[in-house]
Amino acid sequence: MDFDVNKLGLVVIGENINTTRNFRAGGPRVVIENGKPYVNYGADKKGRLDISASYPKDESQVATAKIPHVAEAVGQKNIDYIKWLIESQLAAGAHIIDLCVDAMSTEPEERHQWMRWIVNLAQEISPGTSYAIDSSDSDTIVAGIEAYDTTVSRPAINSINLEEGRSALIPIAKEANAILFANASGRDGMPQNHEERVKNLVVLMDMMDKAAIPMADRYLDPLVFPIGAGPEYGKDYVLAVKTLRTMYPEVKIFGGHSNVSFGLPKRKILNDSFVTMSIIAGCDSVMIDPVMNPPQKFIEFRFAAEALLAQDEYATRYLKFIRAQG
Amino acid sequence: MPVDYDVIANAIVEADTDTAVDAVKADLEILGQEGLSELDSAKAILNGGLIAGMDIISELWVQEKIFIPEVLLSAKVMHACMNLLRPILEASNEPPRGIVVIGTVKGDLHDIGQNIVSMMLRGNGFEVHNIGPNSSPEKFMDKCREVNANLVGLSALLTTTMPMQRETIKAFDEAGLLEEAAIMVGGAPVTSDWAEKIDADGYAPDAAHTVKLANLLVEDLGVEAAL
Repeated sequence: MDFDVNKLGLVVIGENINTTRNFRAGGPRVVIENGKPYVNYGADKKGRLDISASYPKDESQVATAKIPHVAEAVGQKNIDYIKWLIESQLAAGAHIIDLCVDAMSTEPEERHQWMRWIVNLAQEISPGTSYAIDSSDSDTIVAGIEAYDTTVSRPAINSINLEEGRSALIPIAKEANAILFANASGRDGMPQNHEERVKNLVVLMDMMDKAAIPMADRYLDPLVFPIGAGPEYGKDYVLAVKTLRTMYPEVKIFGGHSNVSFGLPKRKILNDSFVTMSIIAGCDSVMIDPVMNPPQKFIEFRFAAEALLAQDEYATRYLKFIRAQG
Repeated sequence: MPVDYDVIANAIVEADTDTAVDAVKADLEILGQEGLSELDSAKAILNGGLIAGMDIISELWVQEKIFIPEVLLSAKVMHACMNLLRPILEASNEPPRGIVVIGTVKGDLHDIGQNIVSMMLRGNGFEVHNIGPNSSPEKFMDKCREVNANLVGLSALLTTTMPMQRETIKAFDEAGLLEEAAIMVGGAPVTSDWAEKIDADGYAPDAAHTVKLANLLVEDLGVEAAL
């Protein structure tokens, strides 16, 4: 389970088991039955997740209100819904599934409990899957790793950076034989340009060298910010990917690509273009919702791009990939 | 030719700097010829033209008819116009609409949201002191005292840093600064329930609503001061 991109094309990190996820109360996923609001789910749409708690009482707010469906499912311990979320991401091609319960509570101890709970549940639902333990609070990550049965699959840690206390997760990753995500956040602030993105990740690379984290287990995230808020953000990311790929041929490089289009219309146009550009620059992993955004076209694109740009001699990998498609 | 404030408002909506700046200059002259003082002219142009334009922008944004980059472009045009009016307003010791200290709380490095809010508040006539991300309660309080702020904006983008909004409000309370300034909270995971729970004075879900909230809070403070 070291996720060989030469075989997979791209490592797909499913971003959906995150308690911040939401959709509009007035959207097609919401049904009202006997006066109560539900999210319908499942292949036959017969599953029902009760969303009475987050559905707006005031009819006029339905159009704009958001339903935090993952937080609802976790809070109610609706195992069936979470199982469906995980299984549909796997069916859509996710290799690693991210787990984030930060939005469940502002109290650290409660967050730790939710993380332990979801780790155990996810491993029960699909034991062979690698799950990324994701939190902005290091202790929540530690709680998740402690609960993780590393004999059945490898965990990932999401993530280390230069912020206070985060590098303490490196030895923990080493001990758990975990995949390690590293992002370009600085000690005192977010990187302002592509040089700072590279500089911060180089410091983290040195730390991971010292801890002897295998190259193939390092996932570098140069950080994607919305171009709506800063015209340079898309370019900064792509340039950083390009530089990092030249410096480190064997690490994984990924990003939360859909951030780039936040606040703009027809986001899919921007997102798809951005993933494509990132792959040309050297990205070999993506953090996406594989259900809404099937990764197959990006995987095909990466095999093709490598063959086209003389990074796949005699098109060996491309041909192998095509034959495997049948 | 009488003054037509719509020319300025429309130029702001269209993000046309040259037209907006020329109209501000022309209007200052016309109003002066009509016998208005320089200060009254500046205030009339600010409210009738600039802020009216930004109000339209906010409304279009809320309706998703325009998008963030367009809002930021219009805010830039507003700034260019403000550069002409500010010396007049300042020379007369006319207080700004409100003095805001804004930042992201300690432990949280996200700065994009607070920067957009800062730009929108400036674009609506507020004096804004942006102290950046990872700001401790002490840093907020020191800046507040230094600039005599009457509004404070606390941003938190993580569930794990939301408690620092509460800590910061507590620190303001203990220092007796809640009498001086109203506290607004915001950020993606923040809700109005949370704002109420931590005794904030207001919550806004986005930058456009922050402007509305800031206006309401300033009016409230004004009323209290008058009583």
